[in-house]
Amino acid sequence: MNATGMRPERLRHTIAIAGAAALLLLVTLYLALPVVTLFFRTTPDLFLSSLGDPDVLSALWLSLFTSTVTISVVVLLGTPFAFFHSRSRYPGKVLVDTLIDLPLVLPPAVAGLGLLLLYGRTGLIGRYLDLFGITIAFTTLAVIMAQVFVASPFYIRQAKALFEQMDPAYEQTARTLGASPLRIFLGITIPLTANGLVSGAVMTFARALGEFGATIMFAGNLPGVTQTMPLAVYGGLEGNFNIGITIAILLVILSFAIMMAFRFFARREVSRA
Amino acid sequence: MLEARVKKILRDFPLDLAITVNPGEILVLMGENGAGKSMTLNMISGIIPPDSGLIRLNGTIFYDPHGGIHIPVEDRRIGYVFQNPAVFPHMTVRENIAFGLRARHTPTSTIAGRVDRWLDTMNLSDLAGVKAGMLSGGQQQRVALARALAPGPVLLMLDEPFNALDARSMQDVKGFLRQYVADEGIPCILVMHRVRDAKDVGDRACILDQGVKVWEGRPGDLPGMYLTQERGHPARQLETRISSLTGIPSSITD
Repeated sequence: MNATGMRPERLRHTIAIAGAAALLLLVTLYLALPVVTLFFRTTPDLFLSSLGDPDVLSALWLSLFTSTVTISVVVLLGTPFAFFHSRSRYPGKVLVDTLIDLPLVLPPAVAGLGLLLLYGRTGLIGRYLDLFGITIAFTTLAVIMAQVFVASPFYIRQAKALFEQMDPAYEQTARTLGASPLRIFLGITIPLTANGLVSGAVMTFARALGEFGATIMFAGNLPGVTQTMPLAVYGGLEGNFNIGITIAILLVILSFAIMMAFRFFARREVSRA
Repeated sequence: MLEARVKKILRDFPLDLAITVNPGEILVLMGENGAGKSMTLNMISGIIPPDSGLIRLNGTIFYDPHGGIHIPVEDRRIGYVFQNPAVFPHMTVRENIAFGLRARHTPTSTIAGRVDRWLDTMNLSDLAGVKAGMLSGGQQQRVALARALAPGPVLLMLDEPFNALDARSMQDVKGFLRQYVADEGIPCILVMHRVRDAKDVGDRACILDQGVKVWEGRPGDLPGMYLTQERGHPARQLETRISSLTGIPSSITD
């Protein structure tokens, strides 16, 4: 190839590199700037002093408590559910698959409205619970129910995929060796999918922690009872702005830690297909 | 004695096969990939039910649709090693070998001793505490074999048991298998691709094609044509590669 042939090619190459770099920078900045801005709207002193504020502490505690309950419920019920679902064929399975995934695309406010109309004091089920003096809406239980509804697909989808993709040779070998279904499930299936399950659980926890729309519809925004961290950030706009910023920064830090944990487990997730 | 007559409609062809294996005898199943060899083992083990047929081992009926009999996999006491040796990667070699003994509620006091003997037999003693997922392919095959044999199976089925073994341990395992099957007097079915392996360990060989038996006899009499005509056979792949590199036509013809 001669020198005149090289030049336009090199130019094209340079333009391509510059274009790619600009795009990379643009996307990164777009995603990073709003997060970084939060840190510039406060000072370390202000942040640290707000950390001790009772509203901050109660929101932090409530968020961690409800998200932990949510993830426990989702893992304890979702794991066996995903296992039976992935291993069986039944009429309407496709419909169930769709319903499981629906909360992923359903606007959370719609989910919250649905929950309210079902479990609220005058709701379809709520009115009967009310007869026994049981109230769900606008309680901490409502916070958890909203989180479970919105966040469970993250775990169940992952668990389903893992159980479907797992090489059947492991479980079948265990069967030929005389192991009971429970021994196989607990001793083979769960350990072989553990990393993937944990990364699914981490994502579910993160989604529960960030839940806002369904919670505010179904549980309201009562400090100490239903005001989780995202709701307290929202409340900060009308009340104490500093508290809102402090909680927002806490959420950024938590999200970052969760993402690191997710990457750690996702990386170790060995495909045994 | 194992007597199996199995029929099943597969996607590409109907599988219809009758095989018997005597106590202490090693039957080698050969044939192209997808000929129905692994499917046959899966049906005998009970993992996949046949459409019809009869499976009987030493007089015990495993499968008889007319009698409504389908003994579940875990109750057939078959030692079965899949093509993927499927060692449990999160368990140590020792735990792998003990798995079947524990599952069948062998008295705890005797498990350790039995596992030790198998570790020794399969030359795995040095690796007893190693997580099985860390082992080489050949080591995993030996673990899988020991794990299948430790509970004392009444029938042994191995799907390509030698393909990951190095030359020396292959000879060891072949010699051991012949001895073990003869001593225990159990029927044994091996799925293998290489004629040489079949001649080394087999008492009898069957060639399957599209779900039916097309040849049966002594491994020593395996038709020579089979060796060269098998699709995907290493010799053929090599010849094809050489011919594409050198332009010299392959000596193996279709």
